[in-house]
Amino acid sequence: MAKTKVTKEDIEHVSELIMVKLTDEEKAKLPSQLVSVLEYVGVIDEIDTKDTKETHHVTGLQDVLDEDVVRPSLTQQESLSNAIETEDGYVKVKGKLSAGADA
Amino acid sequence: MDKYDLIVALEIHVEPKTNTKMFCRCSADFWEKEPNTLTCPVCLGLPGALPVANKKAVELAIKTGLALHSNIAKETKFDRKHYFYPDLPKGYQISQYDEPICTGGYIEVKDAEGNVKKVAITRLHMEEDVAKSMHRVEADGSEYTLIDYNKSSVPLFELVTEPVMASGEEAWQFAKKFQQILQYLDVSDAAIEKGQMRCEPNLSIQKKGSWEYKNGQILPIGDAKLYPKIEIKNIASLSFVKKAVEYEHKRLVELAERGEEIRQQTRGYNAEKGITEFQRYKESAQDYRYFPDPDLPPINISDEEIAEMEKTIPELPEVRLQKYTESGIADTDALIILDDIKKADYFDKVIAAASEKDQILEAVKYLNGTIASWSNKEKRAVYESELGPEELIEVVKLVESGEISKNSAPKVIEELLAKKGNPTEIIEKLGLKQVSDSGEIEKWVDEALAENSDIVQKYLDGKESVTGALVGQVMAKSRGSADPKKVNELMVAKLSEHKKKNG
Repeated sequence: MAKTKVTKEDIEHVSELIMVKLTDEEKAKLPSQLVSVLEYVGVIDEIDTKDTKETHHVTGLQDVLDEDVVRPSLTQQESLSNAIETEDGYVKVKGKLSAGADA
Repeated sequence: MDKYDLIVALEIHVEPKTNTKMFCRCSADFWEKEPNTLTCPVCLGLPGALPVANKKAVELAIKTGLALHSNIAKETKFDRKHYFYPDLPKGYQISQYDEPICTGGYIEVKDAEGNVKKVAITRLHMEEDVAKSMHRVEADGSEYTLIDYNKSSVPLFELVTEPVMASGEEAWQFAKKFQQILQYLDVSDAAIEKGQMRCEPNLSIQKKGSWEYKNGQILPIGDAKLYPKIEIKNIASLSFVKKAVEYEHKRLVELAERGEEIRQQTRGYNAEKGITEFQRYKESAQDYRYFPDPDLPPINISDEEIAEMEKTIPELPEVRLQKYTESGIADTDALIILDDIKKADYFDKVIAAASEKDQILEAVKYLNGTIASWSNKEKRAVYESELGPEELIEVVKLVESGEISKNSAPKVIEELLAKKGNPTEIIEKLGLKQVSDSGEIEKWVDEALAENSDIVQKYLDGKESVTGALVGQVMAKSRGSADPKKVNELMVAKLSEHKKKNG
């Protein structure tokens, strides 16, 4: 069920969700570019998948579970080694962020 | 308030007791540890890291579902829930969307009329926790946040109820019973103050007759307009579940009566002020773009595995409560015993050692009396003391047979709590053996009468209440070991004889 119409609102909604800032020029160009991509991929709709089970996993693996045994963790230094800013062993981020953004 | 119905649902998150995190084998024991010392590439969400599910967490989820009479999925999987936040390193939370491990089930509560009501459970699913964030302010006033990833990916179970509760009281009962079940199953310590159990009531008020509950949803009747629901967070104790719901109920009714607009929102409970405070509006549902996590293969749960888990479930509080009250134990006494599964296990042994119902009831008195006081003082539970359940019944039997008086029993019990021993030996050692031999008692009574002619005179003059003082004298002579009933009988008999002769 490929979408064949992409509006500016669609672009804005998705860019918000993925936190990618777009210029007005990009917002104007993207709808038609995306439509042609969607139409190209839309060829998949020609296949009858009525009797095909929805594919979630492709490895064929099942029931992969680990025993609840502790393995060593990284040291604090290793853990923070890629953080841009740290303070007293914590990762430091600007702005007020209360615990948990969503529900 | 009567114009409106209150509709309450609960969303509860629980930290199950596992050694490791949900999708990596870092220790899950993050409480009060140095920040960022329990992390690895998986729970830090580093590129290329792959999750592997924790077997114990799955088992505990099944165990919990069984205790809640839920249906355990034959096939269950994990899904990605996408949103951006610094405490969510991968940019998605691994959770369960449309194939949760448990569906359905219920917990019984009592409604306002005292009738038993089954609060239906929608589902229970597994997910990972997010990191811990703390708000700070710089010297220049700008705000920043410190993040500790020790908590990132710790396992969580999320339980959601149907919107079928009608009061803060019912919600509190549900939460309390759920907490007790978790502790009984040893699935979680469920300590709210440590964040191991987090309750979020979701509620709305609706004008009576404007709504109906159908297919798990609150729907309008006809063209009635429904009020939106309010979510309450930051409930830091079980009692706040009730308080917060009750406060919000009142607040919403006041707004509705004033004709003011109510918008769907999240509010936080301020325990100090006893009020809820606005946090944010929540009109549009977030687009989480759920899809099955390709890194985590689906999990099949067989009937054999379920049967194995069923075997590990101990006798639950509900069942024991009925058993205890059928023995004649008062509800309130039974609930005190049931509060701690080890205490309940101890009490079951006491019941087994007893040969009559009355002995059980006497034992309960000591458990919730003398023993409870000792426990409070020593900070040790009865099952951590030296008093065995069989010894407790022995003491009860010794009082029953008259070996010791009821007054002496607490002394014997206190000795046995502190040091392992034999009740009969302790009675000998402390000289508490009750004397019921009429000959002995008569001797003491005669002595008391002879030594207290002034009190006897008072009796003859009509003041019969002095009998007590004379009985007290005999008790002192016997060092508390005389059977007070027999002493009293004999004393009264001798005094009235005296009166007849001299009166």
